Amino acid sequence: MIHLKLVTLSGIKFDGEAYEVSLPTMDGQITVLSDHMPLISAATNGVISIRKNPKDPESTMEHFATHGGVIEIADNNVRIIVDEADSGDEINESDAKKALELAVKMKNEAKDQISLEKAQQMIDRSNIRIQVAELKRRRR
Amino acid sequence: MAGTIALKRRISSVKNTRQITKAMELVSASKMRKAQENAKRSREYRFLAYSLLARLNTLTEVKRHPLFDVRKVKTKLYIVITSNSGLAGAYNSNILKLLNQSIIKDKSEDIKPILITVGNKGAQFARRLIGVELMAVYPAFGDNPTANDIRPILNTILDEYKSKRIDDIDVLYTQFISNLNQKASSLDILPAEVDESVINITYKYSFSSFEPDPETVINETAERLIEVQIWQCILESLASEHSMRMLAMKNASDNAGDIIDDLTLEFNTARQAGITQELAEISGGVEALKD
Repeated sequence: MIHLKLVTLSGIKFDGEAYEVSLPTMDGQITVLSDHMPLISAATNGVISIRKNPKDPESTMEHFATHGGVIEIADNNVRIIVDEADSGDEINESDAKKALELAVKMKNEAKDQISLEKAQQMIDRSNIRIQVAELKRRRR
Repeated sequence: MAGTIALKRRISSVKNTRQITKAMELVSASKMRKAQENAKRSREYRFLAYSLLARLNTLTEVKRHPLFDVRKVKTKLYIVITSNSGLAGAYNSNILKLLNQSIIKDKSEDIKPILITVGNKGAQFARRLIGVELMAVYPAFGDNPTANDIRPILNTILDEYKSKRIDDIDVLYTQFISNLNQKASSLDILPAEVDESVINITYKYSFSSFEPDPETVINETAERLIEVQIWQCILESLASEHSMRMLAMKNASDNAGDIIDDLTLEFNTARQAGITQELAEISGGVEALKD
């Protein structure tokens, strides 16, 4: 078992034992099991998935949408610091879809590089939020 | 009787004011509690960022990273955190006084001050300053700031620091010491520092691999640390603002109460004088009729 701590600016989102954690790093999605080698990695936009017990089915996994941050793995402790991590419960799917539409519209209307990048970031963010909301819905 | 009517009007007007200040006091009290809790919640984040940085420092050369680069200070950036609205006692003026002192000190040392202001009051003040560059103006972030709100500031200052246009960055904010004590303070956020005293975790292995590479990881960690420092400053300022506004409004309510008491006394005196005068006139008239 590994101990996982997920910390955001607005507080601790997860603090407890887990069997398996799947994390989005800059080099791709990695899955951490117990006795993982020490690793410090930069996180990227993506989904953090937590399986609490070895026999838990896919449907009971917890998912969080995150955007950047740092992951530290050492001695069966996984510590993640990110700006925001929204669980499926905290995301309103229709709101996220509206945000995506708005972001796509902004991208199409973007005149300079900065606003284009900003719109693209918003699109990525919304896509991940929608993904997590869908994962959550499938659980039901 | 004209005097009593005017007095009556004044009393009811002061009563209305007291109702408003009382309501503002209660609103500020609840907002202050919320801001205080928010500030507490980011503590864990700051602690983790510090300890991670300290661990990185034992593994690699953190101090060679551009954000840790200590240079001779030629330009200094101040992030000034103020509020959008007034009526918060000395909240804004304390910060602006501190800013003024810092700028005078910088000028005597040939340092060029640059400002980023948060909150309308700071922007109004900064526009009047001479010989100070105003780099960016942000409105206050409201009662529920999110990580997205501070990202533009974070990105700007990181760029400016890395490109060596700015050599030192301070945040001027109001430190929330207790409900009754808030102090305008300055926090040096860049160049970043490694605080080794926070490591209280012992590691089994004295090595670690990095993904994608040590520089990216250090960069990311240092950015988190700076972000959480700015975040903490903003939340503490917010708690202080509400706390000071609460106190200011409480004083205003108390003062309104005193004024009402004085005016009521005056009103009663005037009313009684009026009655006495009327009685005197009536008895005078009766006396005149007797003859």
